[in-house]
Amino acid sequence: MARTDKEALALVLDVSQGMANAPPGFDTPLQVAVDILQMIVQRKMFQESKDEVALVLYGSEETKNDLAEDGDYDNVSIVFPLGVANWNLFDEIQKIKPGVAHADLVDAIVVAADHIKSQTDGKKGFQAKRVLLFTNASTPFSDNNLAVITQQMKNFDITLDAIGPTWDEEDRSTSPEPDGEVPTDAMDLDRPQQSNTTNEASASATAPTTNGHGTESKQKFRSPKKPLTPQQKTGIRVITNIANETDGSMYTFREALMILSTHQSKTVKPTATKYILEFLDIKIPICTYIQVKDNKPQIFRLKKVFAREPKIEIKTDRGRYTKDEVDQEIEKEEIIDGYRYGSTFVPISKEDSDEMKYQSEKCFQIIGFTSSSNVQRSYFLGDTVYEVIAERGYEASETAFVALVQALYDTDTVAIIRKCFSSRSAPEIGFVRPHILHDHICLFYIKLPFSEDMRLFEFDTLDGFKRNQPTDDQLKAVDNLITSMDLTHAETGENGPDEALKPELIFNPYIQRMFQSIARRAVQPDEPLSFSNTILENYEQSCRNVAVNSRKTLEQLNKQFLLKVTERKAKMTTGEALFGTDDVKKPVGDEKENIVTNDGLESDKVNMEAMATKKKLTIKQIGSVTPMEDFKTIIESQSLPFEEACRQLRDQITDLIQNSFGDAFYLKALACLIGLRETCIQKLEPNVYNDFIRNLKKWLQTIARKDFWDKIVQEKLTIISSNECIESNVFPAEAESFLAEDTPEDTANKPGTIDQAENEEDLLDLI
Amino acid sequence: MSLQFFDQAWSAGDGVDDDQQDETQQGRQIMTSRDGTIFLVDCGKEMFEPISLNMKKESDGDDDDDQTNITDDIKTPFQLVMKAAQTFYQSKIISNDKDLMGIILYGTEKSKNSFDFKHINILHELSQPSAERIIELETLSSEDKYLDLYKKEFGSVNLTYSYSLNEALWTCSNLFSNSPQRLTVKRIFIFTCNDQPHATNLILERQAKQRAKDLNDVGIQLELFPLLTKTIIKFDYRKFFQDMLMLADEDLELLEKKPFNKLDELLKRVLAKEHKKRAYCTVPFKFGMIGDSQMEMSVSVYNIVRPCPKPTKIKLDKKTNLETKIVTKHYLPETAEILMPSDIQYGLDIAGRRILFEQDEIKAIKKFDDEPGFRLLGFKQMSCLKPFHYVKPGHFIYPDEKYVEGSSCLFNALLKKCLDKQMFVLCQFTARRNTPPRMVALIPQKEEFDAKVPTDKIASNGFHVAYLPYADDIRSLPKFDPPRATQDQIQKFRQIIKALKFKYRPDKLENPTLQTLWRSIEAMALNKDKPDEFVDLTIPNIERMEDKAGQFVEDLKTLIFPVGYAGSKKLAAKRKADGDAANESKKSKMEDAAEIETAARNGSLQKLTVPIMKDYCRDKKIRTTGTRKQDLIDAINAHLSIAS
Repeated sequence: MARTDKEALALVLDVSQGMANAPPGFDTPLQVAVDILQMIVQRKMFQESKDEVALVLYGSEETKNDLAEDGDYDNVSIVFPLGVANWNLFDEIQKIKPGVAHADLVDAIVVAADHIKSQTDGKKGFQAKRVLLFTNASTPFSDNNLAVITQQMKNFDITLDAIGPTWDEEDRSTSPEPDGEVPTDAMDLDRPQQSNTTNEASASATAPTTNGHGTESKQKFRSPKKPLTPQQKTGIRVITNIANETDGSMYTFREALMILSTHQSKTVKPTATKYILEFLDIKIPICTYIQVKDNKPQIFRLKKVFAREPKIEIKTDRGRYTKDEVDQEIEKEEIIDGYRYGSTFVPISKEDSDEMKYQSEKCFQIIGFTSSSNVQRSYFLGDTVYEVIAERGYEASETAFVALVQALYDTDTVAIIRKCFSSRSAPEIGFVRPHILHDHICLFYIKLPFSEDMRLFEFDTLDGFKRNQPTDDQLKAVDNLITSMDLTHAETGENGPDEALKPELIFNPYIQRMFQSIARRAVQPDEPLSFSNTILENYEQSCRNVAVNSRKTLEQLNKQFLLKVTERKAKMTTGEALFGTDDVKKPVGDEKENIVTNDGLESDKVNMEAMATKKKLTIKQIGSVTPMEDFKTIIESQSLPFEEACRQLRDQITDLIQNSFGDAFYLKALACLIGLRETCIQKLEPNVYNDFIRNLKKWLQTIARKDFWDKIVQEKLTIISSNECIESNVFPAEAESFLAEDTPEDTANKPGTIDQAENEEDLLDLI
Repeated sequence: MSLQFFDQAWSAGDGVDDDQQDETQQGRQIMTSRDGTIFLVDCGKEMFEPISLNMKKESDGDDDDDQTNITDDIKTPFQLVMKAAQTFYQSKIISNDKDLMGIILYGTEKSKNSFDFKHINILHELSQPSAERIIELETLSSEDKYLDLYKKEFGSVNLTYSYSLNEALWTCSNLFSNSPQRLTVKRIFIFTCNDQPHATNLILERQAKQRAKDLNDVGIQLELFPLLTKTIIKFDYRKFFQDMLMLADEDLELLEKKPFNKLDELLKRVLAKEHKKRAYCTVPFKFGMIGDSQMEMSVSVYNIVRPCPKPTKIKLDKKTNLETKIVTKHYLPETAEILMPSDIQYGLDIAGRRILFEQDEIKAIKKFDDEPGFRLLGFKQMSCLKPFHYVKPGHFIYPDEKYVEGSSCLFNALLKKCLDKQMFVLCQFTARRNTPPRMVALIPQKEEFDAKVPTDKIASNGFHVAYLPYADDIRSLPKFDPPRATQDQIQKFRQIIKALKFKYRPDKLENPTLQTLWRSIEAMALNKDKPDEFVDLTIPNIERMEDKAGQFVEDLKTLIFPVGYAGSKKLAAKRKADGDAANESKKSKMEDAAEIETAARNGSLQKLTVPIMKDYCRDKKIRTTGTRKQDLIDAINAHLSIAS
């Protein structure tokens, strides 16, 4: 049961003078130990671990423990009693300073063990109890009751693990792990894990650590080679002794850091979903497990809180309102489900809804078998790969399952499956393919598309044009590039060359970043965040050779192919200028526009930038003094919706004409009209202008300002036709004739009866 | 085939159109593309004469299915056209319900249009199809009712009234120009029996031709659907329509070979969403730095497999039957003060401390690259790709010349070499500006054609983009290592596999849930008694399987399963163990129940797990509204009468 599977862990840290010494350029053992402690505690918190942790310091001036009496167990202080890891513990770790007092490591172990014992006594669920000792064993101690102490620890199942700068020389051999390589699970400070082939830490060795120690700073953790003092040798011997007796382990700082450097989100316990694998009347009980699924740590779920008082969580209210100008709120009881059928709304009652549902039972049925080549990777659908194994305890069907997997494997076929999770869910189509290892046999299940999910796009043959056919030299250049960037054997592994950048070893940089950011923000709330940038940056070392080798071939490739960035970019930036995002200076060639569909974040960005501009230029009203300039500013800054800006400009134009003394304001009005026309064309809104100019034409007659109309004719400010703007529905001919007609009323939408060929032209004009 | 017709022949399938869309999209944020189609229907008296039997015969000749699309109750060309329009509407509602449609009748006695043109009658203005319109069209094609309705609405059918095709086309183009929505494709389908409508009036004929040309100039497409009756047995394009439609002689030959093909397609019900070939994004593919500039080509990214969305339920106002909208307000729980976005910060609680971020910071954490695109990491042998290396549906990429000229050639070379060497490209891919990068494998895809029909392309050349999991996504699972099966057991399975082997194609199986729902909604909307029938091919065909593999399965049972084995019985030992487990679980259930009730009173149900609460609900027979955590909590609280 998950609830009982926790650990009691006492972190015991030597803070004596001996830990505070280091040659220049190296971190002191104490500093490194504190880093490791922080990582351990952070990891416990991020994984929402139920493990309980205590922090014991020895060598400090303080004494705070239950055993202290008459000068015994002095200078040992429990600064954080056993409990679930929290920020107080973290703060305590940050507060750690080197002490000056005498420190007895055996005392410290006893205090810690006793604390664990007293705190866990009578409580259930502690699967393991551990003392984790950080020391370089440089200070003297008394080893009077060592045998008794060790026996006591064994009696209470308390293990001693130790982490120090080095356990070298005589004790190396007693360390249970070979030098350098420590499997994660052995050292995983959470709990022993099931055999885990995917978590080997080799790649993470060079990953940045929680506290921002990059690759180069890691050098510092390597302890300077310095012979151990006799005192240290004695200390190490004692520690090794207890550790061996209690089945504990010993790690160097480097090993510990390596394992802890990658943030791991909470491990998910595998839970099985049971099905019966069916075909004809063969029924095999099976279990399916999630093998691969995009990991979205629960812990990243953000709450909306009140900025002025972050303690307060903000509530959201999602009310239903009528979709009209009235915006009237509708009560829950007044709402009914429905579907859209074209423009018709079809209300659906609860009973209808049930009746409309496709009925299916829970199932996992084989529909048939097909050659594995028929199921291409590009068809895969869904977000999960399931592992399927036979449910244990049914010997015959277990055998049948194994035989099926082996037969699929032998024949290179897969089975097409109809799967339905429950009678309430929709059935899906998928396939299972065999997977056989020397100690493991299973099927992988992945969902497949229905015909409705396929988009049968066709693309032209690339060889169709001569210019797209690569020459032999070009092909050779590509060939060389591939060879120089072949990652298949690029990594030096334990047993010779190995694959580089294995998915199994690359951690999601976003999750890493998120953890880093949380840790940083938690500790230094006022500091800005900073990030690393690419996947490669984290794993560069394993690919450095590749990068070096490929530089030459890449240059060759670049010479062989003529690649030219087109003018299109420039056009696009103009497009952006209209939308007001241009004030952020972007170099040409950088703005390779991307997204076709509108995505939330993208528009957010535009809005934000638009808001920024708005703060700068708060023009929201077109004045009569410089109407055209105002208009342009508004359009650029988007401080008003386009239609509103146009409306205001139109009002200005009509005002100018109407109030003009003689033709005094005509030029100004005309300039505005020209501007409006250009903008409408640019923004692909021809109708705004077209409607206006049509009305203007009529209006000019009614107010007897025909002289202004003449100006319009002179300037050829006719309706915008489809020639000028693809959005326009106006024929070019109509645009041409629009200016020619002197009497708009006569031609209003009313073609005469036309029988003669001569009139045909006129007819055209009218459209 | 019908699918393809919808997909490609009529929609934005052709390259030119694609380009145009792209052009207009770049500067714009919103891109909804709609098609507009107007049925322009001749209502001369021939349209009401008995339909040619030839048409009926030919309509079922070509395709492999033996059903004819012209049913027996269709007696006249007019009915047939109305039936076609109805089917078209119904198909559109599913395939592309944003598209607009209209119907204009010409040669009617009564006129209805905004110009006072004679004998031109707008039956449907250009708009989205609706249930009412479909029901109306159904009546207009129904054997018993259509004439009455027609006569009432449009007048007599015995005479041919002198109309002008020019004016009819003009009315069409007017509908297009008055459309409030922007239309990507504008089409007019002309239905007529009359191959020379203005035989006696050269002027009208010339006008019509000129008008057709003008329409063509502004991008309105014209298509003709000829109809035959028992007396009109031939339709001669050369008399008039070849000119008007500006058909080359080759086109004409093709049309004349199968004159009713297109109409037949119209009459087919299509229950599938239409997907316009449109790039998901066009992004740079970066090879690396050469000096201080980036070597890059440009690729377009397409989605070729995506779950087809189910029609979404909408919430209607009971009183008006109109759509409602949701308004989200953020407020302070205590004062109910409504908050602005600037009042909101984002926090998460870790080990009792609330850690705060600004919205911008959350975005910044997700943003790795300045711009979306592919970044080359290297190449690997195909064998490095493990069967479980999958996290989500992939893409397809194809070179793009619009941004970087020469992309196609480099892309092609890369493709050829990867195919040669059996390798895939490893890249870091950022799909959008503020999405974290993923590792992807670009799997080379060779162009392939059907062995039997060499013109039928099965696969296009390009790379499939397969998303790779991160270490975080791969879980470690218990080992399963039972004894291996014996050769004769395996052999039996091989025989079964061989017997039940079929050629899987992803486009063969329809989604039963979706098809059922579509049909049900349609039935509700059109007041039908019951939805159209749907045959679910995903259900295993037991009879056929029995036929082919029944004997092997019998053999297998004797080979593996003990006598009397029913498939669901556990072995004795196991059963005993199970009994213990059951007892235990019973006990723990009691404990759980107590725990849950305490938690509910303390208001700390949130901390418990869903399965525990589910068990509790099942035990106590509590009805829940859903399976989400909150649903369960609400249900338990309600059960224990605790106000939440």
